[in-house]
Amino acid sequence: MRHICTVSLLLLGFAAKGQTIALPDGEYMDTTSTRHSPCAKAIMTRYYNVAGKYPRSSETLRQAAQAFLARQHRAYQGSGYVTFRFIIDCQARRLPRVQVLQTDAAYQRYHFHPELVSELYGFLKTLTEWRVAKGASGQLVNYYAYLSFKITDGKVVAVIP
Amino acid sequence: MGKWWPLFLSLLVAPVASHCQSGPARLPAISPCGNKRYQDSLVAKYIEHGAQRFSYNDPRWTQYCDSLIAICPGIAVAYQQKAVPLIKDGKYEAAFALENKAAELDPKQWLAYRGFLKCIFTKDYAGAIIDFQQIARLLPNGREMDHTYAFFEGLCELELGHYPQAETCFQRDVQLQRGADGRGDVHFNTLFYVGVLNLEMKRYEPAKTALAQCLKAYSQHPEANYYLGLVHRTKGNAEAAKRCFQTAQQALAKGYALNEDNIYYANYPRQITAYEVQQALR
Repeated sequence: MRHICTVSLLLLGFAAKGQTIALPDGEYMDTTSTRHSPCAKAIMTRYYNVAGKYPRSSETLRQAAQAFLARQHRAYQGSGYVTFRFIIDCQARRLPRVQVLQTDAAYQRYHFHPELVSELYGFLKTLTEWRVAKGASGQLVNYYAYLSFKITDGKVVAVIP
Repeated sequence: MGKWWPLFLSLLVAPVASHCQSGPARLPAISPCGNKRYQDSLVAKYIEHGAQRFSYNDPRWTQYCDSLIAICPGIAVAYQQKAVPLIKDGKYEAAFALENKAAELDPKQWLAYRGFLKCIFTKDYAGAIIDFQQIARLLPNGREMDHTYAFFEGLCELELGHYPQAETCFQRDVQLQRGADGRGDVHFNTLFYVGVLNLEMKRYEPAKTALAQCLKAYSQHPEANYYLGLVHRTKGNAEAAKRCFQTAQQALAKGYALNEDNIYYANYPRQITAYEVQQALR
């Protein structure tokens, strides 16, 4: 019984930190599956076709992201970009299937410390005010969006777009 | 059809090449790819009447670009066009490999564009400055996205906190826009960023003047109203600040924006949303 409890606690710890799953088309956070959604039949577009950027300035997001990281009291290294790509559904919910792309400052493939990526993903999860988007004829749509964190020496210096 | 073209072409070329190798003289094969007219005809076929018939998120867009690259790998625009959907999706590794190739093949055409992407899309201000300085040496009076190279260089210096350098760049930008006779109009976003620069340098009167000039050209400019509000608030004029913030709020609600083509894809430096104005009005 004690062993079962120990294993369960370990697994819970894993789940809380999230995990990166490598697939041939890229790396994903948490899960590669999509859940059944009431938006399953809604058409798919891109954030820029529906004014779907997150409704905060880049500077507001940068300050919030950096404050979020600072609360973890860990120092990181490395410079470049951590980008999360995901879908916002027709009810303005971010779907859990999130692709993660990482490059160095010269746009070459790179891997930051997994804890940093996990924390940035934790910050992404705090963003809950994505826009409900409508297509040209007024129907609700799903859209691809992304959020990039420009990192310099382990600190968030810009949030894109 | 587009994706079969390279294969078809290679099948045609293969017997010719093998025949040449068996001949006594062994003349080097002459590729038509170096011919400008041939290049232009391929660009018309594969880009203008090929990829561009579709949305750049349609797989056929990439297929046409790939076909052109397979036929003549030295045509810069094929790489630049292939990168268009990638940069807008945040796929920087793939996008910049292509942008780098385009800039290497035809720097006069694509170096400033890469600098623009670094400045506006990836906030790589130091990298953008290098690109704009390099292209300015090749094309001193060139422009990118309706602005002088000095404008983007000034913007990058401003964001890096290099204020004296930013000031020099914006002065050059204004000078270029005024022209030889000194009578040309200055873009309202030049005036806006000059205002922001002066605010950062705590030079409040010049900041007010530049932002007021910007608003004279474009009275609904949300950011100019917002930053003018910040100037008033810093100077202790709460009522004037509130009026400016309210004007910015109304302008945003009506859909007014900084008015640059790419604001749908990426925020320009200092661009605001309704949230920041709400915070200022608290």
